[in-house]
Amino acid sequence: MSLPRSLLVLGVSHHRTPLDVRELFSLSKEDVETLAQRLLALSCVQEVVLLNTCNRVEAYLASETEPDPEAVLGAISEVTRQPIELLRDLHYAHANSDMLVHLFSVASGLDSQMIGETEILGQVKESLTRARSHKWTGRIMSPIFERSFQAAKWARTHTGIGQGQVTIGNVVVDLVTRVFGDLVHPRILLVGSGEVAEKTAQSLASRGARDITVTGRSFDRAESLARTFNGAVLPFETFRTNLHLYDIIICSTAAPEPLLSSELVSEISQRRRFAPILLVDVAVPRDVDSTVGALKQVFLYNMDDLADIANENLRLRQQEVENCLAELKRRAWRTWLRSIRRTFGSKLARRQ
Amino acid sequence: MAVYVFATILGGVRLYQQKSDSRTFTYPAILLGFVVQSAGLYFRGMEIGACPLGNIFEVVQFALWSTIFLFLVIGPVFQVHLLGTTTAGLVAITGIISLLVPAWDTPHSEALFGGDPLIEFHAAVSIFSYGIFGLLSTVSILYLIQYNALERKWRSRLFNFLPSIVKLDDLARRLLSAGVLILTLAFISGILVWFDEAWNHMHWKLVTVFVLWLGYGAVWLMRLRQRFTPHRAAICFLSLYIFALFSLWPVNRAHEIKLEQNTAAPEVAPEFLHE
Repeated sequence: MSLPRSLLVLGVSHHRTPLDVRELFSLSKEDVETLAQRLLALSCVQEVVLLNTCNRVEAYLASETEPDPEAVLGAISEVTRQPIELLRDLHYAHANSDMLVHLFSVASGLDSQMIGETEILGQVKESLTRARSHKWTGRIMSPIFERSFQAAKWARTHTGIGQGQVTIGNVVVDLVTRVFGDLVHPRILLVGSGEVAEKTAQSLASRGARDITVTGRSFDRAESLARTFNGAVLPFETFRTNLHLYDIIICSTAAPEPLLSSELVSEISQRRRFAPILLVDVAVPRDVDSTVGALKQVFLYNMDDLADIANENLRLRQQEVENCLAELKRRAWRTWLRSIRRTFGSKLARRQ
Repeated sequence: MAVYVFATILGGVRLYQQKSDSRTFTYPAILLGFVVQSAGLYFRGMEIGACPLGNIFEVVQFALWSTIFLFLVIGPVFQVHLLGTTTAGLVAITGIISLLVPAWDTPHSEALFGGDPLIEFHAAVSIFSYGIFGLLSTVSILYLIQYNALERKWRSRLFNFLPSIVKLDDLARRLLSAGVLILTLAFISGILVWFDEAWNHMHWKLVTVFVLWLGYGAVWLMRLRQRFTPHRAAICFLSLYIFALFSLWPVNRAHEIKLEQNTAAPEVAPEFLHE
């Protein structure tokens, strides 16, 4: 591991940005590639890892000299087509050892919207893999990210942050129980066959849900997911006409515009003769128009709502979180010192 | 009432401790309260020589007794969480209010129903329907709490202990059907008893029962035709129950006026003496 002259993370996340603004910064696959190229084109930047999830967009940079945050913000603003002033207000930046602490916290799930969740680790790993495959990263960032995976593993096995973990799936199960009483009778429709939808469906199925239907733009993927729950598949083109048949609708597509409008859901509600509908929108950008929540007998929950419920018991785990964060800071600092020591050692050897 | 208060506190404490087994503790306590209340009503009935429904206090007590009786029958079947705690709370509050107003327990004649079994049937059935609507109100309160918590996204693990809105709506529909049926019987028996008299002057008792019957009947019909949201129906049930409780005053007042008239004019037919 050579000495990183300057490490910087810059991004926007759920901490300072509400969902309706956060979704403006969500990046498509192409956007991620464009942004990485733009950042690498900046004079000082040597390596880039981009972390793009529904709750955060972060650029991890390694450079010879301190990168200009304004230039990084400009690149993000250009790719996301959002005003730079908005980014200036909402962004955060951490440099050097603080960046390591931040990365370790993110990978461990301590910085997540649902504290202690494990999905983020997979997303961080995926970001590194993508950066490696495109050769956006090399000797500096890769070892640092590897250390963050070790730190996350340690946090999970040696602290209580994951104990009593409340996942999106568990929160949805609780909501279903409060609306319908059990999971056996309600009919469930998954719109989108992404990872979040799959995990939510797994939670529902493990608690007794029987009637699960999947629809998605990719019919094969939807069919494969439906098969795991012995469920049915609905063609994406026609799912809107059958919505009134479902009690619980879980949306998690990557559609840039809302799929379900207020008018459509109002019509469904009337066709269902005011039987309640539970709409769970875990997509960012959102799949369900926010005005749908105002309809009677329609209960709409988005990512922020679910996270708020999940973190309700955070107070009970606060001490555990603090202990974990303290240890992660120690590990980040050791990693930073080790990298400096090694670099000076190698430079000294070269001089001799 | 003390036992019901105890049951409410017990249920509340278990809820605060986030334990879902409150029914194990509240049900026996409510059962004990019911036995004690039944004994009280029995002795009062023995004292007056008829069904104890002669003044507001007795009517309230009988309605609360009916509510508890229904809970004891329905509770174990539907397994509705916190229904016992809420019912005991509602019954305790209403019962304590009835105890705090001595004017409600006015002395009345021993031969309360003039030996007419139809009047006695009418009185008992009417008050039993009040009991059903009392339990319906309890269910409606639980429904509105859960509904608002879901709609406004109130965050507390306590809401996980409340019954689901679908279950509460199902129970409310059944109670409404039963209540409307019993109230219809009460209304018909009332018409049979006071048919002739009702033509002569405004009979407040019949008017209030008719308004109540019309209100519950309209909601029942709208729910049957699925033209009414359960949320709106729950608000109607609470409003109608408050009206039902307030209607006890004109009913009792009509009874007092009749007694005064009877004292002044003893030639009135004996079957109307105590109405």
